[in-house]
Amino acid sequence: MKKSILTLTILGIISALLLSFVYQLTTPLIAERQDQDKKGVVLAVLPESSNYRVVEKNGVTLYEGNKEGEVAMIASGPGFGGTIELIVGANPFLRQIYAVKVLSHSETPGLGSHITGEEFEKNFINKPFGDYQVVKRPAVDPLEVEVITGATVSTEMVVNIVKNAMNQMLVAYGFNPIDVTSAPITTGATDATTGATDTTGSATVTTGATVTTGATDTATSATDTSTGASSAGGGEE
Amino acid sequence: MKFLKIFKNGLWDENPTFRIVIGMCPTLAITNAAINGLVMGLATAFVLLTTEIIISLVKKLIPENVRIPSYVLIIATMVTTVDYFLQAFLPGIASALSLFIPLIVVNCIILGRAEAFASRNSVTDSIADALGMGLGFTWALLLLSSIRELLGSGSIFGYTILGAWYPPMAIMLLPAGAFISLGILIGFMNFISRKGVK
Repeated sequence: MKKSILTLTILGIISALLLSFVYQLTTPLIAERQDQDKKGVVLAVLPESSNYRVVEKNGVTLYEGNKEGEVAMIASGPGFGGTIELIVGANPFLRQIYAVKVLSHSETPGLGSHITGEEFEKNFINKPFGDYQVVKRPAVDPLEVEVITGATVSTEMVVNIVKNAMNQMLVAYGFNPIDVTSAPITTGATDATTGATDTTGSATVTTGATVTTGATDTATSATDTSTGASSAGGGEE
Repeated sequence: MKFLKIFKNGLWDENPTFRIVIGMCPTLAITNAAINGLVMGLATAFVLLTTEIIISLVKKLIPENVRIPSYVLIIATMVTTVDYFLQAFLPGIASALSLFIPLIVVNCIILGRAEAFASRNSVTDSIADALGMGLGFTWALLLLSSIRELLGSGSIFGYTILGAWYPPMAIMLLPAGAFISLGILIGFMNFISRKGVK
């Protein structure tokens, strides 16, 4: 009995010593890396700035680039699997987004995790401020974001966070916020919102009443096809 | 000779993934991209090697009745070390594997080999066993994750192999895809081994 206690105590002390050594060795390296990453990330979303300063406006921490008007902001919100944190680089005076990059997330690997990809980030490169909508077909309007196959919720949550960030930034600089519709979290309702932004909704109403029925129907079926493809591929919803 | 025999044992005859079928949690969870499989395998192999060496060295000093808590303590220390080093030097991969690195502590391959092998054998034999089992686990994860990444994303290690004509099968990246591919691979391994006996 005594030997057991002694053995475990000694082992515990050795482990603690070893771990405190490893901790001391790696913590500054980890902190430095995170600092560098942050600096790189802030400058990556501000196209013409080479440095930035941190300011606090209206309770929001903003990274003002040395190029006039360029502002970056870290925003976060709920995602499908956990909190999504992203950085938005924009010019609130010109009402333009430069870029959006996701910093951390816990979305489904291979589906929702595509919010970090270049393919998805393209949706927000050099875009105007506005009420962005998620669509289940290739985006045609600048304010449309094509849904990531199998990750409708993740896509909508990112769009929501970006919309909130735009508004916070506008308010911080004394502008009026944009009137935005926030996507609800439940799947069924989410689909309804997406549907409303498509031509599907209006097409159903006008069918039979107008001469353009044929053309609208084509659009509708095209939308349906892409929706079908995205739901067939995904398990996230 | 004995060294090679023990080494080969883990690599093939008693491969932890395909033959003994243990350590399934990381096997199924993180094998959605080849790089994750490779790093997970190597991290586990490293923990296995260091813990087997330590345990085979101190096996006579540890009283029988507290050997399991002692092994867990040693394993946890090594895993935390790996975790910190990955965060400091390979932050990208560390964030991809996030939760699963600390979870190596409860990977039954490690405790299993500590109990079944390192606590009864010499240091040299334990090194052979750790290398065999560790690399056996690594190649199994690498194979599984490459297949899943190829079919699920059309790429391996992030390089596109199957072009735009290939519609990625998202199911391969989900847990279901892990079960399906693992099942087929185990069946295939059994088929090969049986052929060898005849």
